[in-house]
Amino acid sequence: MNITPRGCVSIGGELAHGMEECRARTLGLFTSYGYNPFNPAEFQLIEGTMKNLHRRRSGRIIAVNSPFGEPCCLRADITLSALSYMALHHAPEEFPLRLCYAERVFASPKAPKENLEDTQVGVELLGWEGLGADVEVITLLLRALDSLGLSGSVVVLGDASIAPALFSGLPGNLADVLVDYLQEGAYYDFERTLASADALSDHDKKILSELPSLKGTIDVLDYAEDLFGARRLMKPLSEICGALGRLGLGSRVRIDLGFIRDLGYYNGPMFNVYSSPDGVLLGGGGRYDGSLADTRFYCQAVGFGVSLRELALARKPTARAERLMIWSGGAYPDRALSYASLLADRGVSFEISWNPDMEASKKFALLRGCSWWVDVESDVAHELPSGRRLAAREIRGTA
Amino acid sequence: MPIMALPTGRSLDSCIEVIEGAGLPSKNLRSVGRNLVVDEGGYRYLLGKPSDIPTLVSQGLAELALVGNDVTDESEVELTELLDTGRGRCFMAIAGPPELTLRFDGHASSLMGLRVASKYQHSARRTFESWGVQVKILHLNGSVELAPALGFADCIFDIVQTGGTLKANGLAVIKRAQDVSLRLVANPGILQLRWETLRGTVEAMKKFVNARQTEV
Repeated sequence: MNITPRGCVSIGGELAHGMEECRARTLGLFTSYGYNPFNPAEFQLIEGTMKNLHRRRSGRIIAVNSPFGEPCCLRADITLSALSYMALHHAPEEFPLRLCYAERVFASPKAPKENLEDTQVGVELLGWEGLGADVEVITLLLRALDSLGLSGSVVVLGDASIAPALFSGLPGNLADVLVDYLQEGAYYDFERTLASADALSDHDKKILSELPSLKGTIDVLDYAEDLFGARRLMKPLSEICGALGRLGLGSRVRIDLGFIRDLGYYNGPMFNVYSSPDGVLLGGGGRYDGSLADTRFYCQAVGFGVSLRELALARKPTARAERLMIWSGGAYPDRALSYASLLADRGVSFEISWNPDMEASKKFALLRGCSWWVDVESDVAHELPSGRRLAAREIRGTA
Repeated sequence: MPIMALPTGRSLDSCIEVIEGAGLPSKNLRSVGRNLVVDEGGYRYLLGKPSDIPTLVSQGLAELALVGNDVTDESEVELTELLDTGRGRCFMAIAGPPELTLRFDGHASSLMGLRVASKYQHSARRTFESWGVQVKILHLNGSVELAPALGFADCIFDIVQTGGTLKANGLAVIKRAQDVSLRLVANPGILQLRWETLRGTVEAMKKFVNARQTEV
């Protein structure tokens, strides 16, 4: 029987263990920084979702009708839920609001991916003006990755406001066309369009055409400031990089000034995060003041979301706690369960075998990767596969 | 070591011309035989079927690739397009019996339900959808010109170079769609992470292509 549709997957085994470990560690870290767990609704009203997502994403939502007849979609964006929650449950004097989550999001896949759903872990820092919020969120992201052994992870920073500001004086819809090309990664079309723009001097064409190639270490910002003569435009990124540098994180930050994603949703500093300098894209985030303004609060918001699955695949595996197999043998179930309670209270990981056949139970324990098998009746532990015997209290660590 | 994916088949000669013109190592590519991986002068070239090139790049197996935009458009994979080499110029078009022109000259409603045979099913669907027209796409892997002649399609959506094959099968270009040529593409993530190591290669190719365009 298969009840899992194409594009969806039920995850178990080592990957599920890894995802749970990543979820627990990252949420533990986020809550220690004052982020409160947030459990958003699985459905979102389609009207508000469509209005607030960039067209590249709104075209990918998975629409459904609620049994109450409201046009909805499966949760397409957790940030929108967080913003809506904040607007309806908190007064401005309670700002900033810090939320963290580990939840699924749903979207039609983009090639080559086929997944309709992904579990993301992330934070939202809502309603605080200033550099501190951006730096806090990026630092928290890198600390979370460190806690999973991904100390070589890299954040690539861009700023969605830079290109529109540089193109702001261009005639007609030229600025929109150029920004669209950058968003689509159509660098050749970007250069070609610039080259044929009569309204621009050759000098302006030359310097603007450099925008997509302004990628690299944070030194790129100094070059860009000189090139565009626009120190004010680069200031948010420069200040973020300066603060991250003083925190010792400078080597894990890269710049991409041609990087624009979902303009109108993001409208300030934004970032992608990779598992290593040669690694995979884990997720991203950034500043989205505009979306917040839709909730009638005119202030800054910033957050990130990373794929729990990609995190689990990329993390450095840690040794799992050794697990015992408790054999109930011929004993009554209550005897084995009392023993289990004792182990659980002491933080020992175990599984109960109800199989009356001792040898079969030992084989099963080996299959499960257990290194000890404990006979509850005789209170003797057998090391697997050597067969060495010990008094079980030596394994329990107490009499 | 920069890794570049190249399509086998008739585009390979154009790729080698660009690589050679840009001053990148290419001697072993000239005598590649059945090798699919060519290491030369600090570069690794991966040779693959054209339709597999976007996958090689999107999976991070190759950092850069030279491939036609007919192939990248059809793959629907997100890639960054860095350069139009100008090689292999042709175009995508709707072709059919000449009398079909009348339907295309009329209102879009006259095209609803048209049966279109194509190897490029995704590009064909997107093209007709951009005109607001719903059509029935019949996916074929080759010899699409047969479909109108045998009566199971009204027209085809295909790549056109000289138009010779169309003419031989009694078909004509009805409506031109996007231009096609050999493009230099990259994985967007790899560009963000390794631009410094790839920039020299990209700039060298750009310089060669631009110089040739100026000469022309």
